[in-house]
Amino acid sequence: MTGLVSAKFFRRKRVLVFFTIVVLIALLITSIETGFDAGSLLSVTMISATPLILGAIGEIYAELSGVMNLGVEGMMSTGAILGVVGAVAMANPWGGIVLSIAGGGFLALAYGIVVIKYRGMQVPAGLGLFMFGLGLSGIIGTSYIGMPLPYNFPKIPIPVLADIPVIGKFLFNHDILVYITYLLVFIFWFILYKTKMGLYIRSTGEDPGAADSAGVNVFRIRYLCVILGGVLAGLAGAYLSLAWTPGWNEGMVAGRGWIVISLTIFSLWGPARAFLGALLFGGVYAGQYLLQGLGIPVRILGMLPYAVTIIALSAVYLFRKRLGAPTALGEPYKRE
Amino acid sequence: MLGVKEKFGVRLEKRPAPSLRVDIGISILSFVAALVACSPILSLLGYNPIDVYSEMFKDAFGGFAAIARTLTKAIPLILVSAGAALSFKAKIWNIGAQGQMIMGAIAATWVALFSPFQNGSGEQIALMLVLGILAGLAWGAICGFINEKIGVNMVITTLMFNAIAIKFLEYLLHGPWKMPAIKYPYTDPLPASSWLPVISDTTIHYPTLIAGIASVILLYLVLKRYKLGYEIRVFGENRAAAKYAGISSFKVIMIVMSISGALAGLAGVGEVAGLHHQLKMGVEGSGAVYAASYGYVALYIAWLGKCNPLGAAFASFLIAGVLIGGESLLVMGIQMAVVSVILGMALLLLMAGVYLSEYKIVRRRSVEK
Amino acid sequence: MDTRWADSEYIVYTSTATRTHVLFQAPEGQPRLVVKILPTGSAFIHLVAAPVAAFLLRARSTGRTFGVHHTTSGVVPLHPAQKSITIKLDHALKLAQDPNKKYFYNNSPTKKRTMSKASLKNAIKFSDKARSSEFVVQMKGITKSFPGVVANDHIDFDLKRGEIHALLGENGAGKTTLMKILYGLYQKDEGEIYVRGEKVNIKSPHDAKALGIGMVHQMFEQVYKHSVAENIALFSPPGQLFPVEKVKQRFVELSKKFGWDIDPDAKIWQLSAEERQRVEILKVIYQGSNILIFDEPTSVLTPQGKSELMKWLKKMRDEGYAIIFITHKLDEVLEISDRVTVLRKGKKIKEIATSKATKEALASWMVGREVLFKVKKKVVRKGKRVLEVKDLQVLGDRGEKAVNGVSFDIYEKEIFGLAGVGGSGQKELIEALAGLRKVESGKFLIDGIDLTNASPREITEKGVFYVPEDREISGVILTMSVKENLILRDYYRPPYSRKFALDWKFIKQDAHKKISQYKVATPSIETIASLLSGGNLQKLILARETSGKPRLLIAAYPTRGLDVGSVEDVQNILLQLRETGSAIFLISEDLDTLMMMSDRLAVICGGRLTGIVDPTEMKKEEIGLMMAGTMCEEVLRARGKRKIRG
Repeated sequence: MTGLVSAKFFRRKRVLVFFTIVVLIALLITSIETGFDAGSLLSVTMISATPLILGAIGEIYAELSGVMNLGVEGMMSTGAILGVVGAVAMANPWGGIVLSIAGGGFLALAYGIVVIKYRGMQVPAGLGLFMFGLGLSGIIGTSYIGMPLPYNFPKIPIPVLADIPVIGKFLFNHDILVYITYLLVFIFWFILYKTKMGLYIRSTGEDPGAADSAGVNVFRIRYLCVILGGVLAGLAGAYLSLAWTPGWNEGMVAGRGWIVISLTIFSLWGPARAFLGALLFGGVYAGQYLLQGLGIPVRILGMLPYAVTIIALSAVYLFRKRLGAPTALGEPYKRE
Repeated sequence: MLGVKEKFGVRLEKRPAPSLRVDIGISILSFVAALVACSPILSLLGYNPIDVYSEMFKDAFGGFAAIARTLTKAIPLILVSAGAALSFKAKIWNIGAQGQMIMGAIAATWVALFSPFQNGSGEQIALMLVLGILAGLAWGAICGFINEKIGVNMVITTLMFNAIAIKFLEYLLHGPWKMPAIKYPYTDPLPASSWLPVISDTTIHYPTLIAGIASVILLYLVLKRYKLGYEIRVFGENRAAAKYAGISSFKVIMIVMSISGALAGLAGVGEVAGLHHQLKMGVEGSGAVYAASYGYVALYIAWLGKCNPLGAAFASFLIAGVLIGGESLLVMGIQMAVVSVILGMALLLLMAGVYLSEYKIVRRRSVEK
Repeated sequence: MDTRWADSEYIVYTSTATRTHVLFQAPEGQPRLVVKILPTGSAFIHLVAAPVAAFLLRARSTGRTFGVHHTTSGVVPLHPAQKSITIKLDHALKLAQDPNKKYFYNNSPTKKRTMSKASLKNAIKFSDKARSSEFVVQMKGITKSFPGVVANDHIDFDLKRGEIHALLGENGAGKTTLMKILYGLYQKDEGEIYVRGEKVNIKSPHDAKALGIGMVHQMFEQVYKHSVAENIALFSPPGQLFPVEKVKQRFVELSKKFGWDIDPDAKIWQLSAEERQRVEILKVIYQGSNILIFDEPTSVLTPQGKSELMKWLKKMRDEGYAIIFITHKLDEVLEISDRVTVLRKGKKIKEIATSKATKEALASWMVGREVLFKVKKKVVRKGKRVLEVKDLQVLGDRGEKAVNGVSFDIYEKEIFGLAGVGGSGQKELIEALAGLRKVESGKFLIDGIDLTNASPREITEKGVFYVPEDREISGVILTMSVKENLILRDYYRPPYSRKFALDWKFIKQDAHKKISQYKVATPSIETIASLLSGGNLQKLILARETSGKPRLLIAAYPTRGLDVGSVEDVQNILLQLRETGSAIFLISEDLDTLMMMSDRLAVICGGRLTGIVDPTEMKKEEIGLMMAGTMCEEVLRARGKRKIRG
């Protein structure tokens, strides 16, 4: 299987890798010199990024197959509350995970039926899903507000690796869901670019006519991807309620769903790039308190992810002729 | 035979032209279906859906006071949904009403609290209105510019601008504009000179209501009869034909975004100066988090009214009732979240329902031409 | 009888309880089945058993290779990425003893496979039959109708191995329809199809591919943004994992074998039209097809590309591929085909060995001899010059020179026709004149004013009106009413509007006038446009465009798809316009209409005008020759007449 992960692969990513290493070294040195706890900062960055990347992978798959799902915020919210409900009901946090995944999946299925089978317009339908999911989580969550949650995910430091200065806290000292996320990022990247299924998915969103004539079942692929989007969004929400907070509070998703959507575009529909992008956004969350000390108002910083998205997208549109958006995104497919 | 399907034994034929009756029917039907679909959720949580719905109806439409409350709620909805209807008529996906409202509200607050016009004359109110409208207009126009000249997708652009506006509001409320006395994010209450007049004994700030109704009528007329309206409609129906007819897409996009932005901005002013008299989080309607902001509800309303300003206005009133009814449910122990659930489901069903409007039921054998 | 197939490998036919596979031998360049007989030891085996098995399987000891692929539809081509089957000799010998052994397949060259005895016997029987049938494809009595038109009318067509059979006809003659039936995109109404001697029912392209039939369409089925390898892997996925990587290796081999050097990682949008076509061809071959259908392949190529393609096709034919070549160009037919079948208006006119055909004969079969002069034209003397086109050069969508130095003039009170097969540059020429496409060099003037690269509105204001080709997309807004469609051109000026408001009273009056004048059949002016028939839509567009005495009317394919009555109405409208002083530029593929209506007729081929003539003095087949590229002078030289200057 030559050419699988070849020198060419690393050559392209070389710049990114180089840059990352430089940043990490800089942080390492700073922390040693000034006692600045870069490790903690990066640790918070990673856990802030986790729900974002999970949601983004799902949305990337959905959009690559041609369906834009704006209801991520709603699915994440429902996932969050179902996580709590499940954990309480089964006295085990994994129960919450299972329930949240199921819930997210069902919501996405309903959305899928509206936009795929009935060819409904995706933008309003997505907003409808958002409102529905958000409200549903509120109703279910009424009796769970502020309830302390004994069943959640403790940190599991990886022996030896967790002790590396800076990097250890950054990567190896988290709860199991974060480690699972690492795995998921790899798996979904792999599926997308190295398997037949991934090729089918990408082709469906690019040119459903060509995919159809190649024998791909366009509708089935789209349903699968949309449901996956719901599953991962639910998981992301559960992460928030079972690991991040933990617990349930109204509005705890706090707009992350919209960041997921911007992240999807910002990453130009690539899971690996989305991971890096999520770290960027997560870094902003984490860095808020830090930068407050520098006198920059917290909430002005909070604008950063959104402003950056627009600027980055503008740059892409202005300088690159072909964006990378799946060509058939947002258009319902009609078999002639 | 082309365009004929068989479903459940009933012959469905592709409908050649849209029919107003069918469209209204589907709008109403999808809403009712949403109510029905949400009943099991309610009962699962221990509430009788009939009780819930009747309580909502009573609180929204039962009696003069109720209707007044509903009307107050309807004011921002009428304004924003009119603008949304205009955008969607042109197939411009402007979902930035939330941000545009916020900017309008911020502008109005600035005039009221921090500008030199504190003397209580009509100037202050006039300035609030003007600046608020301009703020909303600008917020929308920038998005339009980015979309047309740079090429970034309108949905994303307006979404981002929403988020930025929310953050900006948060910043102001937690920071420089915060009421010093308490630790919650509110500004000082606006001086009485800046309050919009209301109909006595109610909260209906009528200037904005009149402006809203006027805009609806104006937009309706322009769309139907005027050159600009014609151009906007052609642009929405068939961009290629519009280009061929010489209609400038830049002009259409900028005008539509400016108008809808302005209307949303005005709605924002109304909320601050006419109702709350204070700038706070949720001023654009998302205070009760789950109902989502008026911006999104208004989008649903626009669709419900089939992207027609008049239809949207009627629908605004009804949906305002839903919102008011929802607020009252707190008494029963249910949250506003229910409203969000119902509206969300209604929007989904409406989108699916459009598919049905493409077909009509054919009972007898008709000979095809 | 073609010896190439006879002396190379055998055809093996195997079956299991649930599936049937026929493994093909294939010409050079395709993956093939390996049946390696491995001697396992004893002398007996080497001396006796091996030759027996070899005889049974008719294999050569040099061990050629075949690939295998599973499918449920029956007959299977070979997949390049698949490895060989190796049958150990002792297994081969066991066949007679164990009738229960089923066939199984897996990807590894080292695992054993077994075949049942019955399978082997059948295989040998089948291979004889297949080898003896001369025709690889036979289509008998194919009939296909669409609403209102019979596209194929009891057509017979066959194809031999190792030949190029051209299918010739004008646009709309039914060639593409016939081939789409063979490829499974359309279902025939009547008729039978035989592939390699077996009667088959091709229900979809999937079935066709399984039979080894591949089609290279005019519009390539390629995902624009993906790479070559990704596209190939999409259409012929070699398994679940790493499809793109697996495809790459094999693809590079394959493309080198054909003498092409295509980077499998190149994205489709980066490739030139020729390269894209090569990718499409390789895609088809990669699928294992050995019956190839080419639909007008040269329409996207430059002259060099064309000769490359021709060379290549001949090479493929020599290697045993069976090729069907759809075209309307006579030169190509003569250059490359072994046989040619000419279709006209859905019927098969002639089938002949190319060596026995002449260009003139082909042209006359293609266009027919009848010229109908149904309409009485008033003799009108032409007036001042309205349009002057000088050396116009316009680029097409792919950057090629679609219009390559065209010059002509059109005068008042004249219908100036333009004939040519589709894709000769008419579309680009029209769009340039309407202001919808950029002019690279040259210019055109209306009444002396240079309007090259002016905006559509400016051009309209100078009195140029355009009835577009795809009326339903850019001509008419189907969701709006007749009344509102009628004002699309003029809404912004008086008397249709004053300042900001539209004058609806006037608009309604005007609309009523127009629909009665142009005989647009509609219940009312408020009716939604989508309810109108094609003919009435066309008349609506004409009504819109021709009110207010246009200086120049550009009418693109105005009678396309219309019923007879509407065609007459449109023709009358155009003639009336001509009488009242407009210049009319009429572009059509309907040669009869053109010859009947035009005062002067230009013929375009490959972006250049091959001549401007008086249609009353030309024969239809002569026009046909000009459409195929013969210059006017040559045609006239052939009958010794003076050329008429336009």
